[in-house]
Amino acid sequence: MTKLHFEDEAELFAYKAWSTLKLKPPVDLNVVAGRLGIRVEERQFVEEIDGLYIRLPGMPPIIAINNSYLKPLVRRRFTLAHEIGHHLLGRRVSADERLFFFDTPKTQRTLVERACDRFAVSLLMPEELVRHYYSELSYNSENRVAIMAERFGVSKWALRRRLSELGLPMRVKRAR
Amino acid sequence: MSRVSEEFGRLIHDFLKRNNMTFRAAALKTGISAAYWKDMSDGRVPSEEVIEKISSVFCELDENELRYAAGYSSKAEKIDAVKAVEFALRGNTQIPEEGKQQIIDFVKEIKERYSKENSAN
Repeated sequence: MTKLHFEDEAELFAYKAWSTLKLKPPVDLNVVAGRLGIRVEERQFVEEIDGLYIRLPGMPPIIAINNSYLKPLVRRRFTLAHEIGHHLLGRRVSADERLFFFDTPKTQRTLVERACDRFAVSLLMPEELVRHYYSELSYNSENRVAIMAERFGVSKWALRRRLSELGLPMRVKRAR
Repeated sequence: MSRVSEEFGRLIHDFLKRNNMTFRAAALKTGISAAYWKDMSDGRVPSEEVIEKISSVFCELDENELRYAAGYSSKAEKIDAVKAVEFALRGNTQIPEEGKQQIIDFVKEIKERYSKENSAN
């Protein structure tokens, strides 16, 4: 129940962001963060760090993204969306309390981390739009993944995973 | 039998030495006996109440640092932001020391920046 609850909440947050901020793909994540009062900083960290979320009393919440050349733009976008998820899911924790999340490629996939990933996926690639583009590009199934990934500002790998979880086959076999 | 922490003893010993303070002088200021101060400097872990008391008398003795060395959990409300981040990073095995230092420096920087912004407003 808890797992469903966390991930459902994450999806709901993403849905609300799309409906209230009238977003368009690729989502401008700085707009989303800005509306939530989060300051976003880019900084070069060691390779092991993707990003971090810090909330301290008396200061605006801060997300720092590792802008090292080793982190491609699409990866940074996913990290930023994931950290925004930490902010939203952390709102149930009293504002007087400090919150820190240090995300690395090996961060343990706890319930919260999975929910933040769910938020990032739903924010960057909302189901309705994924299905819409998928069907719109049915004439070009060979390049569909690349085109859709570009439209959403995500990696092809992330797009393939999204298609897979929505039960949308990558390539449709042509009838002979 | 009381617990012993070498790290705790070192903190107490170094504090007394740094301030050229005898056990007796420390006892007079805190109401905790000189013998007990000696035991603490040898590493005897006191109760949480004693830690609270000595850190409230001597500002130089950070309560959470003492608690950590003594094996007690930190008091969240007592921790300075930078120290809180240091504590949070201590158990992290995925981030190398260099990365931890980068994060701590980043937090120091933003803390300074926002305190300047606040004082300007």
